[in-house]
Amino acid sequence: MPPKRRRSSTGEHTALPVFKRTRTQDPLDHLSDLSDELLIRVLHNLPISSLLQCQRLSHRFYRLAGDSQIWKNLYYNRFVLPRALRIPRMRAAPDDALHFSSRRSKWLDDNTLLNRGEGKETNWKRQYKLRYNWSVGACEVQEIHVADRPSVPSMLVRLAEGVVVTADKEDGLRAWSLKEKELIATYSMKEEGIPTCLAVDEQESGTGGLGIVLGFEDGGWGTWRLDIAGKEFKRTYRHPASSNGLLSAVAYSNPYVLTITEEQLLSLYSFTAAPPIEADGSLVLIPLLGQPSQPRLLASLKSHTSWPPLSLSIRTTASTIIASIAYSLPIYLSGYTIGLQELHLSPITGLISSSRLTSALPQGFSSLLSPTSSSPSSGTSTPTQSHPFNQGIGSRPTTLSYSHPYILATHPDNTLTLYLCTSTASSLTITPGTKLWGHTSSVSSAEITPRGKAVSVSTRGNELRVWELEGGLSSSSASTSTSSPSKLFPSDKRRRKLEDRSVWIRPEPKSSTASGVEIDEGRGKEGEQWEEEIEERKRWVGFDDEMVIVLKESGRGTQALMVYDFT
Amino acid sequence: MASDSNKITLVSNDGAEVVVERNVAERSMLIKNMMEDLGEAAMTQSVPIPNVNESVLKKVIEWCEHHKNDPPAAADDDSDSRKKTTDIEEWDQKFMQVDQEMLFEIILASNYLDIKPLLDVGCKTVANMIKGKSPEEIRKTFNITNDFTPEEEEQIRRENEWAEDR
Repeated sequence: MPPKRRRSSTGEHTALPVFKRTRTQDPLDHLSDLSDELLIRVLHNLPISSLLQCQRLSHRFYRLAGDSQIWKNLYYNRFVLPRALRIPRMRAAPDDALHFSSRRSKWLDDNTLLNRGEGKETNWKRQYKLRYNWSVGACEVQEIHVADRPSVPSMLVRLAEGVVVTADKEDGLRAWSLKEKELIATYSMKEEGIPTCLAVDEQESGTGGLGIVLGFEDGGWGTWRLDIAGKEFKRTYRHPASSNGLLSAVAYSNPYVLTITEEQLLSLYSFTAAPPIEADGSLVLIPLLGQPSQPRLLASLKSHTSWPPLSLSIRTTASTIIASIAYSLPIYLSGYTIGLQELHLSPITGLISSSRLTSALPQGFSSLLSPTSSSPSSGTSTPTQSHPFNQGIGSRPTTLSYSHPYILATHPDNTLTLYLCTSTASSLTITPGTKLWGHTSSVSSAEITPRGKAVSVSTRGNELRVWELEGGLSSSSASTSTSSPSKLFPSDKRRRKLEDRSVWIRPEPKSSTASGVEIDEGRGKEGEQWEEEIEERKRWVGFDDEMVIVLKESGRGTQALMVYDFT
Repeated sequence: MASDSNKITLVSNDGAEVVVERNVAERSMLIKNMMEDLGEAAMTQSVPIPNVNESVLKKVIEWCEHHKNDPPAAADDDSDSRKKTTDIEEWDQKFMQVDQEMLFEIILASNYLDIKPLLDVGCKTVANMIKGKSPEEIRKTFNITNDFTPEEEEQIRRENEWAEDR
């Protein structure tokens, strides 16, 4: 099937030629005497399989059985209600309090369900199908060819708003539309340098543009703006090279930019003008008029304890900006764990109001490198006794994905570790990690959303897994009177349960894609193709509501984006 | 004309008079509201039910008789009744063992008379007739005319393939 044939709710109905209601009705057809309203009432009582059968009856039934009211109801019962029931307080609430309330959809549902100001009604059947496909791992795959040769350093990829942004030395900054599967904009990096890290500002959704920040090998960085409709990149700012060296990670949340160098020098910039101080010493807010040309350096600090891989993020709340860095932390004799540092800044003055540190160290361990973790000011290390198997500690992570409140680390030993952080006004803690089993080879990349949905990919062997982790840590720790590790990890049973949370994505074999190397099932194939798969490396994974993107490097050095479409 | 003050007279569209206890008739929200609006006057006049014929009206009243002591349904709680999909209590199942013409007449009448629980029973009965059948079987059951071209039907079949293995 061609991808994305139908996107809108109305499209689904107009996909078929609408016949005039000819009076071909059988005189014995009493069912069709009923009004649409009554028929929908009847259809409300049907299971999904019957609804879909009914769509094949006639044009009228096609329309009625695809009715959004019916599918909204089904969607709520299958996907929303079980989630709501996991929240302890909700479970105690009277049953009927859980039926339709539009207010609930705001916080329980993905923002795709809100009409993103397009004036279109949500097509609930489509939404149901999408969620269903995610839950069983059914999708279609397409490839977008991005480069003929391997890039050094490896190509940087981010996904936002249905646009994939890639950056590398040779081909520059590029944007690909996932809808059309084509290149929409390019910006040459010839004069810019070698990009080493990339971040996309995700808070500007719906504006038709994307804020992008790139860090370079020479220590400089710059911001770009992608105009999606106008298909054009515009450089909005370029920070000069610095002697501090290569930037290894960046984060962008307009107007703030957070960078970190290879030497672990963390810098936070703001594009807001410095608030001038009045004669009486009070601060005056200057409204932002466009983008001030020069960013201010708000804070800069050097860390001696953070080890790569690390993940930077900026969150803004009403009263503070929280810049955080999640990093891996070596514990001597016992491997690695995760540390997290938060910087709290006032959005008005831009001054750091507090800085705190925590780690997922079980009590009793002390890292030689981070004496702070045992000092009282450092926030509490997690209160745990040493539990049967040391879940929180292990091999050095290959990547970290931090999306508050989750930190997901990937390991070369075929596992992932999930940490849950709690950040309140008074404390910052991370739970001991929970190992996630499922992969059968080294996990190369993973991404997690604030909602606890994660996608992970292994380096080789076409293994892509989707995890629904939301209930995993939070609900179990909430329902089993917290902090008892034996309850949190009742070994095998719990482990199996978590394993069940992941779904191995098995794309349907695609016919007629451009460079159609079929994914999955490497077995039934000819030797040549099989060999090629052996050489394939999956470098990076990202996803949105409808698709998963994987950056793939084949043995011959060509690079491609694999698009897994769940619609 | 009924002399008993607790009885009212309903007149079907084919002119038949049916005398029924007021509390039975008031299972119909339409009649109940009418009674409240008319007050005492209603007790002395017959009430025309223009959309319903005698046999259907009698059938509907039979249902109302049996269910006259049911607790009133919670204020229009649609979602709740839908949740328990197609369970129908035994008496109602027997009651609904009628030919299709009557079944749909009952649904139309209960909709017109605004008797929600009866309407639900009717809809569930129809749903049970659809469940588990192939489109061809459903068409046969209800004599529905297929106005799709074979290509169109195939397109819809493919579009809905995703859930077929459930």
